[in-house]
Amino acid sequence: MIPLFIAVYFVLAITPIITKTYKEIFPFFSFRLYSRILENVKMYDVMYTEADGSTHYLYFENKQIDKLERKHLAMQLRKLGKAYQKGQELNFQPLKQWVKGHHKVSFVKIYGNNIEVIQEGTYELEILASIKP
Amino acid sequence: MRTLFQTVWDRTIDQGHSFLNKDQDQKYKRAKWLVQLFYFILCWLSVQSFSQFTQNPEWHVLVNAEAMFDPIWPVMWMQFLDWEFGVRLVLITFFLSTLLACVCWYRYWLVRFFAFLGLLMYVALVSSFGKIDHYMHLLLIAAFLFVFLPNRKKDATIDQGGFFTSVFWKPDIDSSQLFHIWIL
Repeated sequence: MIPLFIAVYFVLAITPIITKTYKEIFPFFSFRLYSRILENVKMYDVMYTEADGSTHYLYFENKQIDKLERKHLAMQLRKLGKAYQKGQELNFQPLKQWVKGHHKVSFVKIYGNNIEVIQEGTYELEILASIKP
Repeated sequence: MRTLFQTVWDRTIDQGHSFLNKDQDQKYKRAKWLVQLFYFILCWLSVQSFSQFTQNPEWHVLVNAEAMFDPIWPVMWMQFLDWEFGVRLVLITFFLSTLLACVCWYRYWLVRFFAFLGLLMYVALVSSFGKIDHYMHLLLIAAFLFVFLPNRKKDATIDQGGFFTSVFWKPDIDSSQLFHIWIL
């Protein structure tokens, strides 16, 4: 029973890699969790520039959002990032509620060394599109 | 630890008998106690899911999160129900199924299956907001495997205990090969 279970598990974990869908089959671990260690981090985010010139982000280092919002926003930003990479039109409609009340809002890419970004807060920033000019 | 080490690097047969077969009665009792503890922990988690919990979302956050719901397959059906009713149903199912398992997991496989289903629904629900978390996956796998434990019979003997513990490992192991240890 258990060897069969492990065999099925392995096949289900590696299938998304072979088919290149990279989607995890719940409730099985994705093989990608074990097969790569990221040296550099790249994440897409929404940057707010307030009237006094200060900037902050929707996702990165934002402690105001709860766990579910964090998961949801991570997915939305990931989708936008993929669309940007493919050169598709960017649909900011799902982020509408997060844009209201801010002076200037941009869609950005944050990248750099994993440890430097997470622990030291030093990163490169690239503005990809303007959501609210 | 010694058992594991010796099983991997040496034979388990000592003077014609596998040392893994020794003290079967004691191992059987310990395994039963561990499974009881497992269902108690599940029940405790289900109680925690109604209140503030360090890992999973709080109740009020879940109830107000309908707009962010992106269901994965075990909770697809929730799209067709009233959101708050659906959330309540999942949490109550999780709680009742694990409570029932705490009391009589040893008698009916259906009770253990129900506990697995309750946990599956809950983990699927909290993973249906764009990202799947993995910290409860091992509990889920264990709950699934425990469905196959033998039910208690009136004339239970040590043989049944042997079958019970075989879910954790294969007691009549006589090879030094690692994959012959079927530890959960």
